[in-house]
Amino acid sequence: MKRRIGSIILLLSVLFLMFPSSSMAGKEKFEEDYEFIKNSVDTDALIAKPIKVTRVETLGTFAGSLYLLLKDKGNPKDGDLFEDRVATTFLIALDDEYRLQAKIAFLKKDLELGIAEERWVSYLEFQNVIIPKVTGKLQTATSSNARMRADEMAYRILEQLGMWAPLENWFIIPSDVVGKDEWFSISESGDSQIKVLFTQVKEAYESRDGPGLNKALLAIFDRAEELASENYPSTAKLKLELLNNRFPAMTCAFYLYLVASLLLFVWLVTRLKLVDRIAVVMALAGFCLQTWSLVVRSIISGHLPTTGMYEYLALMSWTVVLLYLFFQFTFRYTFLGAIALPIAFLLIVLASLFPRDIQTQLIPALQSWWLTIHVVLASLGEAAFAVGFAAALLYLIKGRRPEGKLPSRERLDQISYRAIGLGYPLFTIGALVAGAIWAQQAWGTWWSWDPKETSSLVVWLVASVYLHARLLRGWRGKKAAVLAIAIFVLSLFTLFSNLIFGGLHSYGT
Amino acid sequence: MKRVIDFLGSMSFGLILLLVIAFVSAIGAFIPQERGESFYVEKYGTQTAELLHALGLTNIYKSFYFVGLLIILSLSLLTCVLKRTRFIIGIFRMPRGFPNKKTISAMSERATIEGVDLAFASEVLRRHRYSVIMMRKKGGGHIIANRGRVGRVGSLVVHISFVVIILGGIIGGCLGHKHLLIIFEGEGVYLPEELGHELILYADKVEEIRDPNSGMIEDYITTARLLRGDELAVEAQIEVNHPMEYKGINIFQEHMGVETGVALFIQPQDEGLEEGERSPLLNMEVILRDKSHRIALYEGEMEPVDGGYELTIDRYYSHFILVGKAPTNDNPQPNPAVSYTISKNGEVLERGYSFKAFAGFHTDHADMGGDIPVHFIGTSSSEEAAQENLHFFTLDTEFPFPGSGERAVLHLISRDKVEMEEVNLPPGSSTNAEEMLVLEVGGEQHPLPLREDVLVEIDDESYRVSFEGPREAVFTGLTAVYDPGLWFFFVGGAMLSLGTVLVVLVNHKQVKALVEEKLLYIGAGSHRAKDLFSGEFKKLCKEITGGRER
Repeated sequence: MKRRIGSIILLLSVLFLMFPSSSMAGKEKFEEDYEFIKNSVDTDALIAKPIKVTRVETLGTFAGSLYLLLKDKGNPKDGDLFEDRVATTFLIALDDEYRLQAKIAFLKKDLELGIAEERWVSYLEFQNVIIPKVTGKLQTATSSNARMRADEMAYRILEQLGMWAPLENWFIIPSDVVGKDEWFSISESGDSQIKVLFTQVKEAYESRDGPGLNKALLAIFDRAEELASENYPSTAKLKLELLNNRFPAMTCAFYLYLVASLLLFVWLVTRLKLVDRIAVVMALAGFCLQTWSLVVRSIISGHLPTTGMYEYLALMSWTVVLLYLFFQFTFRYTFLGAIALPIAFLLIVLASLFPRDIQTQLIPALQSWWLTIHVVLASLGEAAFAVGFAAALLYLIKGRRPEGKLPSRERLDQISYRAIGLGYPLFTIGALVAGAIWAQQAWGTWWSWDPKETSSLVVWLVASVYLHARLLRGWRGKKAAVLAIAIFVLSLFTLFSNLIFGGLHSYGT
Repeated sequence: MKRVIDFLGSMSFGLILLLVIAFVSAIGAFIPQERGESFYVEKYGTQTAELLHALGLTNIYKSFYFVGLLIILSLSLLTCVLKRTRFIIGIFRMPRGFPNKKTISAMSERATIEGVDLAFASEVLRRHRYSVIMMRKKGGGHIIANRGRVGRVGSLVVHISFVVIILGGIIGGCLGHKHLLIIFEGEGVYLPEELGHELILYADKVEEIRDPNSGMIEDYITTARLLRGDELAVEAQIEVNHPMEYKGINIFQEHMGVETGVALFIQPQDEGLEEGERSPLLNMEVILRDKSHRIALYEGEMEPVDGGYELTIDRYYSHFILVGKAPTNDNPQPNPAVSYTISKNGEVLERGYSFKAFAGFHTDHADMGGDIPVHFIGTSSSEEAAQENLHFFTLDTEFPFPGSGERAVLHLISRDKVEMEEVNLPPGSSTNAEEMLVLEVGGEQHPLPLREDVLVEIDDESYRVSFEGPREAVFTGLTAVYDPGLWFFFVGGAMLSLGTVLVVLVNHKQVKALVEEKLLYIGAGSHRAKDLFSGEFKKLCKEITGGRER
């Protein structure tokens, strides 16, 4: 509260204004600079060093994010990016000319700032156009609303500025106070040794002294580690993050589910032997990889993957496969995979449309165990509805044909019922009861008729109708299958209702 | 009446009702609820907006028909519960009659096994965790075995729980209250009367915890005190997800922020003490050997301090001013002060004056060489009175002030209300804050010079209004909620969770058997998962048959 964002932004703008507004350097020069850094710097050693941007992460993760930002944005090297991400990152950190021309900042449409449409901008444009406008807004904002708007802009821009920071502004020195998660930059540090090392880095880069540059860079990070207390992340955690970056387990799981689904379709049509077993093994392998991905994400973030749309969709995809495998290994319902696995990989595709940055710091309302219980159980419930949907859809596909790999219609009908029966208590406890308890704790109201709450209630009511109709009215077959499909379609609608209608669950977007 | 009850408790009616409620609820998700009229006009056009409003679709969850639907659903559920309770109690009771061939043949699973001992059959059933009632009779006997009867209770629990939750929602909606409280740091507000009498909430400290590097918000914390009258009721840190609780009232942390505006302080005009009137309680601080001692006493009283030292307040002045060399109470501006005496074991060491407005200043007017610091902190009663009547106005326009003659909107944020007031800016008002504001209270205009205090009559009371200048104040946004339906929800939620688990995990199975002429007639049925139970029954029969072979 006391730390005014406005003053931060002004400070940063002053800091950046000190940069040389150099002449535009050419592609050849950047290639030359890049090659020098690539050949000089021990990227394998530096990639595992921690820095703090929005969270403590490895230099490798930061370099990866930066690479994604640079990719295809009409950058100085015309979209033909340099291969080595760490070397490119150090090129930005050390070379003022490259940094000034790199289009890293993404600006959303903001008529107040004169941004007619969203676009990527370079620092030069940022410096000459955007920063003066924002600082002007901050200086003239007097009403609380105007100040709030200006602060919001300042925050957005502050986030972007971190990406352009020269090496001396990287947060690499953790606080030496135990338990204080505060990181300082070289320019903020009071340590003379770090300052000397930084001077050596600059001199080595300017004089093209490769070994000197490498030695000084490594020494800076080693010194940062020496200055830190227990706040320095463990080597195991850093290695885990690197492994997570190098090995895209979620993507591999996606391909495995995709191929397994295709194989199951082939099996259903051709009745080829062994194909089903290969498909199940692939689904299992995909499940293990997805589990690995979610576990690593949980370790890095410090919480279960239950916040934001990416995490929820990835978790739901995982629970769909979990339940499919449960039915597979308990009852040998291999055929269910033909529908359940496509649902799983489609959920991964949908997840990939949302930001996947790992958040270690959750907004206050999300810091509750009730949220974890709410999300995990709701996800399991919806996954069970997905399996019920799969069986119901197969029931309708099978029609009256007696032949084929699919089991009898009665069996499919039973499977659908059983899956929905399993999902019902999970959804009741997770989506409704635990969600309401969490809402009571966070918002002071256990039920607010928020669009997501309302659509969850609609799903629950329709599922209640389904169970009653089956149990007491003897609904079977087509009518029950249609209702089972409706339950899953409605739960998908619930999943995205916050995107359509907004409401209290909108932070998930 | 019976027909009405039958209709209410019928499955068809219940299912249709659930679908209708689902449909009506969904409408509320599509049409934004409880927005201002202009919102609907802008979004849907005037005619549609009027239609939506007339149909109650803009506040659907509080519309008579939606509440009516929930009440009808509750009645339907209760009727259903009453109808089913008798049946379920029957399952737990001792059976009135024993099975015969006819009842067994009517069961979904049945078999006939030759030469089986009744005792062995019941032993097998017990091994499978059935609760067995066996009765021998000449030439045979009967068995009635049940397993998972509690599963039947699950559906009853679910039905009742839903009624309890609806009841909680209706009670909360009718009798509950929810109020947003904006409290500036260091200030307090009266909670609305419906939440409790004389409840004052003070926000002593307001903190927004941010991650130092990312700038992301970690938490909002308000260090708060809740007082009932003069007594401290609760003292707690209110955080997001960690509300303050007091006798059914929960105070939640919502948000916080900074308000920029004009601060005007209004406090009762202190006219000075009448002859013979008792002074307010005077809060004093005496520092002896670098140690602070806090003492509260009235004018004319003496209180021991420490180590034989004593403090006496000789005179209290609300408007202290020296006229010549004599202290008087004639200052037009308030200037609270006391004259005091410090003595030790009856010997006077020091006589002096201490002033509230000048904490570091005290005089030894008797020139007795005293050097004991004595600070007049303030008066209890006048401070409380001031706090009770303190109002914070913020000008909802940008600084500098709008031009002369314009009207500016002020937010009036007082202890018990948040409302808007309009202020006329007088001719000549400008940016230098040297001019005047006109404070408009109850239609009356009070010119308010920005450098001087003025007296204003509000509700026949005389108040002193002082302009504190532009002010940036940190405030906390809290929500005070009284929801008498909350425990209904907790109980209903727990019942709903338990009930659905029981319904799904515990399946009631019943086996009936009859031995007659060395033949075992056995029949069975299950409440759910009949296909799975069919296999289970076959295994059971096989086990019983195996006993015969042994």
